[in-house]
This record gives sequence, C-alpha cells and structure tokens, in this order.
Amino acid sequence: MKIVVVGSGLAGVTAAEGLARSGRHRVTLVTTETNGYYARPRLSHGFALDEAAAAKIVLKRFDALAPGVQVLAGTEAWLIDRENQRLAIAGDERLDYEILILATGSAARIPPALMPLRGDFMTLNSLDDLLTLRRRRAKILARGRAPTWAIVGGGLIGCEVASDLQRAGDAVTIFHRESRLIERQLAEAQSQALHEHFRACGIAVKYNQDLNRLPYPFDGVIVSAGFAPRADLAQDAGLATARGIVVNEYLRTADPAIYAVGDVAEIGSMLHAFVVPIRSQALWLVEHLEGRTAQPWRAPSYSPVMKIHGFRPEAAQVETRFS
Amino acid sequence: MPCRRFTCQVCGHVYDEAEGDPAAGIAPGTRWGDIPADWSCPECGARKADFAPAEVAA
Repeated sequence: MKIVVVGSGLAGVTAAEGLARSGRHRVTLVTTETNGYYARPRLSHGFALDEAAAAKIVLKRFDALAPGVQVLAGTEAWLIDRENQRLAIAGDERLDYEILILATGSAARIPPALMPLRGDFMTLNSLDDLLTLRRRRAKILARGRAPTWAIVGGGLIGCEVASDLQRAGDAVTIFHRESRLIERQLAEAQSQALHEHFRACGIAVKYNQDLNRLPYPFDGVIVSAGFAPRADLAQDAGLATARGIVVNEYLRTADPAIYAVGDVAEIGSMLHAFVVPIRSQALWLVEHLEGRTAQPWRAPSYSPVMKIHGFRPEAAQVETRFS
Repeated sequence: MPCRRFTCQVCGHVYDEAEGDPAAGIAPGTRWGDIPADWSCPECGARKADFAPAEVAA
C-alpha cells in the first residue's frame, strides 16, 4: 500500500517505522521538522543539561529511521484532496496515498488575549524552541548574571520547566491562573507539597493571576498554558474536529482512508497526550493496518510522569484522568 | 557480572544498573530483571518493556 504519514513525533515515527518493517508498503513521512526524531517529554528538562547532553535529545536523524521510510523533512503538508486521495505538500507537489495517517501532534496553546503579544514571550513546544531558549540563557550568563524567568502557567509542563530552570541556576517565578499547582493531575495535598518544595528551592509562585497580561520585567517569559492539537489539515478537508481530529475507536476518521494518531487524535472526546497511550496507538495502528488485529484500540492504564527535581508525589495520588 | 545499560526506545534515556533510579526507589546496583514491570522511564514515562539493551559504547 501507499501510506503517507504526516508528522515525525512519537506517533508518526512509530507508525511509519512499524509499517515499513514488512517491506510491503511504500511509506512516506512528511514533516516540517528538520532536526530528526526526538521525544518531546525531554524538552522540559533541557536546560540543566550541558551541550553534549542536549545534543543527544535528537534520538535519530531522519536518515537513520528504519529502512523503507522515505522522509520529506522541512516539508509542510497543506491540503488533503480526499476525492483523489492525494496530499498536497510544499513545492506544489502531490503525494498519492491509499492510507493517510495524520500524526500532526500539537502546538503550544496560547491564551487568546496573548496572541497579539506573540513576539514578547516564548513557548517550549519543539526542539527549536528549546535551542532558542538555551541560546538566550547562554547570552545572559555570558553577561555574568543569572537569567530571570516568568513561567505563565502552573500546570504539569510549566512546573517541570520551572524546576529545570531553577536547577540550572536561574531565578524563576510561576504565574498561575488557579489557586494551586498542577490542579488537573495532582490532589490538593500534593499541590501543597509541591508548593512547599518550590518555596524551599526558591521558586516563587503567584496564584489567581490574570494571565491576559504578560508579567514584567523578566529576561524571558515562557507561556505554558497547555497544548492545541494541530487539526487544521483534517478540518480543511471537511473532516470532523473538536479539540483534535475526531476518530472512532479504530483511530479512523469518517474517511476510511484517513487515520489520526497521537496528541491530535480525539477519541470519545478524550485526548491521550502522553507517551504510553501514544505509543500504544501507533503500535496498534500498525497491527490493524497489517490485518493482524480486529480489536479496536483500548487506552492502556498509565500514570503520567512528573519530572520535578527532588519531588515525587505518591503514584497513587496522581490522577490519570485528563482531557 | 558487569553492570548493564538499557536504553529507552522512545526518548533515549539510559538506565544504568550501577546507578539505578533512586528517585523511584530503585537502588544503585539493581539488576534490570529486578525492576518491577510497572516501573517507567523517568524522562518520558515509557514502559519498562520499551527499553532495549544499550549498544556497548567505546
């Protein structure tokens, strides 16, 4: 079969490599990324690393993926022609597909009020974002002082980033809209314990903040306000989207030739934006397309990891529900 | 038996038996086989089953 995969994160790469393995398909992977494959969870702890360790975040260059995966890197997919089963990509080219797998992942969610200020803050959503932030740190350090950061958003990723920047030696203040940290995944007592931990580390936390304005003055403001699945390709093709691309329990859209997998796939109004379910989806999809399973995909049970230096909540108290 | 290393296939994190994973209660020197199956990658959350023996580096 001619299979086209869009996206080179965990979902896209796992599916593409798995499907190429049999040698029976022509697998093309289209991605705007140019650095290679890396796991996004690594980014939130990418500050306290030296240059050599940071360079290892890229796990595989695209030419080192499993044989049989043809990668079109630095290439945007911009329109799906469902009638002719063709994907239009940058450079006015068209790729024919029999199966199209959308693994476009997610962008950083930006609160609407901050949109006009896009040039005045940063996000941490891609390796390029991390490298930009690392360069900014290096520049300030070269002037002989510790950088000061405002983290807008006290959810899971915001707290991980704050923790890592503090570990790297920087001054960090978290601005959170809610009255406690990581309120979606942590029980109240654990939020309190994290607050105490941060206070002991010297991380300042401001609660009940109006996040429609940017904090000032800091060397850098990092907005960490959740994620926004990149569903536009499907939406423009007339496929159902809500927060993500709406798929059934077979990860299939209403178009039998088009699947969605990973952060972008919305199943029964749930998004599954963690490594364990995403890898499970991609491996399941390979089995499904190879005709080796007739069972629908079922979300595995798992607990999201929480990477805060020196702090580890009891696993039982981590809520695994999220949306 | 020398200490072995295992690499997370998802993110590249290396579990070194010599170091263990003290933050998760896995003491230094813990053999791979003695780590509980519900242990997960401290960097990305992948399962123990998603690790493979690390290639021996020079």
